Order: sequence, then structure tokens, then C-alpha cells
Amino acid sequence: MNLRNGTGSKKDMGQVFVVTSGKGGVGKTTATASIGAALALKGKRTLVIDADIGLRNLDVILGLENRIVFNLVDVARDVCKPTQAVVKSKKSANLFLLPASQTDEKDAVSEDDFCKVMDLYRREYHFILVDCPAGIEQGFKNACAGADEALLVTTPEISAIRDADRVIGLLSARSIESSLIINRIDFDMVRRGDMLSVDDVQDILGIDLIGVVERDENIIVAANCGEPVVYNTKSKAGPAFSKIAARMCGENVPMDDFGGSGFWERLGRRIGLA
Amino acid sequence: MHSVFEFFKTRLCGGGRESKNEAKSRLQFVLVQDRTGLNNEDMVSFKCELVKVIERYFVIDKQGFDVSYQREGASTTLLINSPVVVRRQDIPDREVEAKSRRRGKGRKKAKTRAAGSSASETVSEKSPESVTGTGASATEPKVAV
Ligand SMILES: Nc1ncnc2c1ncn2[C@@H]1O[C@H](COP(=O)(O)OP(=O)(O)OP(=O)(O)O)[C@@H](O)[C@H]1O
Ligand SMILES: [Mg+2]
Repeated sequence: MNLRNGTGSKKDMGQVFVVTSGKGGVGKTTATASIGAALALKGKRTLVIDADIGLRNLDVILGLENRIVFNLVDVARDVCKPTQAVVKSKKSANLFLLPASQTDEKDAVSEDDFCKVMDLYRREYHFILVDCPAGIEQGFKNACAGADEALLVTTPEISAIRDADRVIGLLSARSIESSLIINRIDFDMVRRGDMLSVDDVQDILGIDLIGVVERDENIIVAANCGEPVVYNTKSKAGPAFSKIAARMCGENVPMDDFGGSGFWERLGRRIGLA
Repeated sequence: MHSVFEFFKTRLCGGGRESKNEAKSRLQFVLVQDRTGLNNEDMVSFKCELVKVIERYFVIDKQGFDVSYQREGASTTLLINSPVVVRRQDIPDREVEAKSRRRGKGRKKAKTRAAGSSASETVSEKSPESVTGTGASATEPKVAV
């Protein structure tokens, strides 16, 4: 992960990460909320932005749905001041949400609007995470517009990886570097050889890995309560997201040994055959 | 020794078909098309035309000829691997055809992946005299021959 090689004036500005995947339902919103909360716990002033216009969800995952007054579209249209639209988290003094609107107007905002909004907030935060909608249409283009880097979320499944590969291509065409998050992996299935391993996914996609999150029921429990899973330090997913946040802060947190691949490959490697 | 290992792997592990291997090879097949933006047919004709051009200057082993599109970090490389039998100007014209045929037969064939299409071939070994190229470091896809 590269820090933005901006000029002096950009030095004290926040890093904008777009959290994206191509395929829907792989865990973008979960990752945005969890990593955002983890960064805030580390003392970083963090803004999470819901870029899924018309289908907002980040607010409920963070338990902030009843505090929303203004939203991203209002900020873009100068209906309110940038600070008025931001909702402060109940649990952390460092975590803030800029909600999406629930209008279904397709062209409610443009790429220029997003660039403008990012620049309005950039100076005020250490990290800005943009929860991107699924797909590679306008919503995706908007969410990428003001981003410096990408967190690419995928699951170890064939369709999610294929879509992720497509998105990596689109991001690199925009000079946005991606770091890989493998979500919802099931190590029992990996051991049986019925799920692609961390190594497999990394080999195929060819981008740097920043974290691995196991399939964990606690994520659904956390969503039910509107409390990011990172507060549950006994869960598997919570600490996994916290490690991603630490790596984003430049800490050297080694990757776990994921038991690599299937049984036969491990045996083969041990006896020097595979 | 390796085949003994493969034997145990397939016989002892309930038929040994690890479905992830199928996923992996199918992905690698489909990603060549996605990454290049060329469908199977286009890829086949791209390869044919490349072979024609290269054959104007070299006698190559067509069995080992392969095109892949690899990404590493920010750079993408179009990798054209073409085992060279001999430089064309080094041999008298009438021997060219015979030589090409002889070398092609003896050479280990490239591994073919799912769907049996030539677009999904990879070269399992690289001959030392291959015409090959890597290491482009630009964001834009580079062609290396
Ligand atoms: N590691 C995990 N373990 C178990 N369930 C998970 C995990 N990650 C995400 N989920 C569940 O998967 C579902 C989809 O997650 P999420 O809404 O974060 O995906 P998304 O990529 O934002 O979807 P969309 O594309 O619709 O915006 C949710 O029900 C979530 O609780
Ligand atoms: Mg979402």
C-alpha cells in the first residue's frame, strides 16, 4: 500500500479509499463499517461515506439510521453545509457517517460532484472510506471519482473473483491501486479443497493482500444491533477487520498462517513435490 | 515420484476431485478473455496473425506458442511465448519446413486447460531460446515479444 505521493499541500489531507467489488453482496458495506470503526478505535478521525445512492445501508449497519437529516446529495447541491450532513457515531468520537440519499434518481450526482464532496471533507479526516455500490455503472464511477486507493473486497468464489478482476482493471485505468480483502472464507472448505485458498485468490488477481476475514455469524449479529463487529473482540471477523485497519495505518501486522491450501498441496509442499 | 504422489492424491482422496481446482482453471480461462477483451475467436485469429509475422523471421515451434495477459501490481504485460527453432536466415529455404516439423514433434506439448480451446493454453516449460518478454512496469498494458 502506497501513501499518496501528493505534493506538500496534500500531506495533511486524509486518504480516500473506495471500498468496491464489482459483484454485489460480497461484504463492501460490512467492510466499510467495520474498518471505519476500527480506524476510529485507533484514534484516527474517520469518515465513512455511503455512495450507494438510492439503496443506502451503511446507516443501519452503524446504527445511525434515526439521526440522519441531510445527505451526500444535499452536500453536492449546496443544500446544507458539509458539516451539517455528517452524523457522529454513538460509540466512537472519531467515527462519522455521510449518508446516501434514498432517492432513486439515477443521475442525482455526477463524478464531479463526488470529487467536490471529497475535497470538502478531505482536510478534516485522517481516513475517508467510500462504500461503493455493486456493479461498474455510474454509481461505481462516482464512488471512484475522488478516491486515492481502493480496498477490493471479494469472496473466494468464481463469480466474485471474475468481477473483482474486471474492477481491478477499471481501477488501474484510473491509476487507483487496489489492495485485496478476501471476505467470507471458510477454512474447512479450503482444507477439503472445495474453496479457493488465500494463495489461489491472490495468485489469480495479482494484487497485494491487506486482509482475510472468515465467514462469521457475528457479522449478522452485529448488523442486527447496529454495532460494528470490531467491538466484538472475541469474534473471528472483528480482529480480522482491526488488523486491516492497522495495516492501513502503516503498522506491520503479519498475515496469519491461513493453512494455505488443501491437504494434498500442503503435504506435497512438505515433502517437496507440489 | 511426482506421479506416485498424484496417484495417491487422486485414488485415496475419494476420487480426489478438489472442486477448487476446477474453479481455478475455469477462472484462468475466462480471465484471459476478460483481460484482453478478446473473445475466443478473436484470440485464435490474433495468435494466427502473430505466428505469421514471427514466422517471417524465425522458424518457431507452433505447439509451444502461447499468449497470456499477466498482471502484477500496477503493470499488465502481454506475454508472447514463442519457442524458436532457428533463425530463418540461418537455414537454406528448402530445409525450413522439414526442420519445423521435426522439432515440433519432439517438443513437450503445452498443457491445455478446460474447454480444450487454444486460447487457454499455457506453456509449461520455457525453452531457453524462446522469444519472450516480461517486466513492463507501466500502468498501460505493454506488448512484449
Ligand atoms: N465475513 C462474513 N461472514 C458472514 N456473513 C457476512 C460476512 N461478510 C458479509 N456478510 C453478510 O453478507 C451480506 C452482504 O454483506 P454486505 O451488505 O456488506 O455486502 P455488500 O457488498 O455491501 O452488498 P451490496 O453489493 O448489496 O451493497 C450481509 O448479510 C452480511 O451480513
Ligand atoms: Mg453495500
